[in-house]
Amino acid sequence: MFYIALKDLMRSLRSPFTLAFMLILPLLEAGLPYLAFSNLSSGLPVQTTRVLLVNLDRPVEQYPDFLAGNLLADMFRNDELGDLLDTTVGDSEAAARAAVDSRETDVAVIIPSGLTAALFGGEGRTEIEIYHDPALTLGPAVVRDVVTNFLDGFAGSLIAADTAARRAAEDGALLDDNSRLEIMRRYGDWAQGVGESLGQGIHPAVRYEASARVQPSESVMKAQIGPIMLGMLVFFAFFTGAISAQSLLHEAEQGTLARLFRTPASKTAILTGKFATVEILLALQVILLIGIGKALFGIAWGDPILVILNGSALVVAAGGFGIMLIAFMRTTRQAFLVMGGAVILTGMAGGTMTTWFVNPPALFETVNLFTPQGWILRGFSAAMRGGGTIEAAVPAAVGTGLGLIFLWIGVHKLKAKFA
Amino acid sequence: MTSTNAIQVKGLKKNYNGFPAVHNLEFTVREGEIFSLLGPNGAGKSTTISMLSCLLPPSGGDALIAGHSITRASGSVKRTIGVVPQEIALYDDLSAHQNLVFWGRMYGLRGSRLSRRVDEVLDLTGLADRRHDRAGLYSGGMQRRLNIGIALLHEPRIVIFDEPTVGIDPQSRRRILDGVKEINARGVTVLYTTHYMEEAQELSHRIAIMDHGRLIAQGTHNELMRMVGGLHRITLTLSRKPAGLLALWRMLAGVHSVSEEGERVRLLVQDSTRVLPTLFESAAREETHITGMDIQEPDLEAVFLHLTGKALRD
Repeated sequence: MFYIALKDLMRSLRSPFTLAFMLILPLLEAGLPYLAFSNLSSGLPVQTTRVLLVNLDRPVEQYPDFLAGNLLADMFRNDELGDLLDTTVGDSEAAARAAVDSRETDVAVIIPSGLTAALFGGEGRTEIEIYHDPALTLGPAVVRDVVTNFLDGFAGSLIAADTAARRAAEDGALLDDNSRLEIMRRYGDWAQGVGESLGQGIHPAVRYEASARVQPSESVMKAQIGPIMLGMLVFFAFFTGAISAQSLLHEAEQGTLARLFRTPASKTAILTGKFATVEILLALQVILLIGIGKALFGIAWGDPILVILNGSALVVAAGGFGIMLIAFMRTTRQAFLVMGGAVILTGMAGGTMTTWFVNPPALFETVNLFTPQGWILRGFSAAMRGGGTIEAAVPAAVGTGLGLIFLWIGVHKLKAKFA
Repeated sequence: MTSTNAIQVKGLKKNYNGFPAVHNLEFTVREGEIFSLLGPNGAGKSTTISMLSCLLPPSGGDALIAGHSITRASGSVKRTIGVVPQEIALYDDLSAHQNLVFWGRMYGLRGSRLSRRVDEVLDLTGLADRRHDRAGLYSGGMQRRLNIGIALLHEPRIVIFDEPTVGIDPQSRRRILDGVKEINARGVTVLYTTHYMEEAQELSHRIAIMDHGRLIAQGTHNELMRMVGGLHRITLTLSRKPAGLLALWRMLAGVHSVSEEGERVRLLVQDSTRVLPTLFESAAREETHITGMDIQEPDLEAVFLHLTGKALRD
């Protein structure tokens, strides 16, 4: 038995096909999405929007040294917006529009000559024009928000200055133009501070604190890689069970099984040796994938005892399933088609492909119960999310039980076949 | 060769779904001889070998291999015999050395005896220089030699060859036949199955002829020849085959049997020289041309034809 298992292990571990299904494919299936999207933690990568600012604003007689257009221009040059907006200054409205039309810039902001006058309540109506590439949405929206914040802030500062002037007049004092401007500037600074905070999604009056006790996921994909890797581990373990059990049919077709049966070794010892190989390969696969998953992707598999329990259940269930299927097959060609189909169907029904669903449909949860994969996944998932011992151990026990039933059926069928 | 029996087959039977594949087989193989089971495909040779090597349980009867019953002491039988299967049964992804070590272990060889036997078999099969190459990379002839070598690893007293020359080139066949003689010269008893009468004729001390699961004749080559009484075999190719002509030939004096084989007609005759003129004259009367002719001295083919009424290769 020992020498048969040793020989089969040597042959299996030399086979690129077996190694692909044991290790390479599950790691690729789980690892490729991880590598592709692993920087999602800092948000979606956003392309910087090119802004061409044309400031045509002119001062009013009352405040010859003040220009609202300059304030808006300063806001666009704020360092906080540096990652989002790349602002340059232009001279002509027509040239700015042409730059957008030719896609030399993404957005043109044209500050009209009467902006300051209009904001201070002068005659006529004026508009700040945002002219943008129609293919872009995010960049123009950011520009629109900056301009809107500016106008809101400016309106607020005017109201603050007017209110202060009225209160001073009630007290018999007169607020001069410089004092009004000073009030407006202070209000503007405050409004800008609030705006920057809101830009980061937090109002200064709100404290927003993450738990220091929970290990933060480095990214969205890092949070998902555990369930995905678990699904692949279970899915491909059943493939490995089926593929390695097929060696019995291979040997029967090559004539080596008949030759083995002609040696003094008993049929029981020969078949046990072959079954042992299936289980050893599965154990190797489970240990390696769990280890690699932890080392490479930082997957927290949960309580080691529960992981061992569910890992053992997976080895028994996948091995038993493969041996049972092979017992009913006559040729490797037949086995390739039938076993491939059976493993894929039960794997999908068992939920191995949908482990990353946050709220899976109730039907999924029910169908899972009819497959060994579904039970193993339940046990492992419970261990991963730190569920209770019973929650993780009961599915492991059911998975082991199913595996033993499969094995019993397979062994009896094979005994009859080779009697 | 001694008078002791290496193999004694007693009323061996094998039925598949009620159909008798092997029917009451009785023969003995003496120690040190080469004994051939000769018969066409489907005669029951491989089934007999499978029962003698304890791969298939018999439906009835028994056989003693070196005194061990195949039904009651299969373990002892398996240790006593080496079987060279018809197909090349080895692991082509393992080297010759790894194959031999594995099969040696399966026969219970360990340690220095295993190493010694592996080296000896590698030398015997001429594979010592390529012992570490994967068997799958060997030529067909090399694989055949390794296939035979595996059966010799545990130094069996009896080696059973199950049609080892099927589908191979004449050169490799020659090597295998020489190898069988060499193995026998070392005192090993050989049970050899084939459907090539030339092989049985060349190799065997004694021959048993099988057809439809039954043993229809056995003995030395000379004993079997005497069964056909020195009959000559004439094979004629005719332009057409009028039924009346064949009926006429069957009634001719000196003609023992007439059988049809496709376009040809086979006749077993006492003396071809006397019969041939009559055959030509009668064919001419029926306006039939003899377009080909072959005359053979008595051989196993003639024995088979005599006993079954059909050619061995049918």
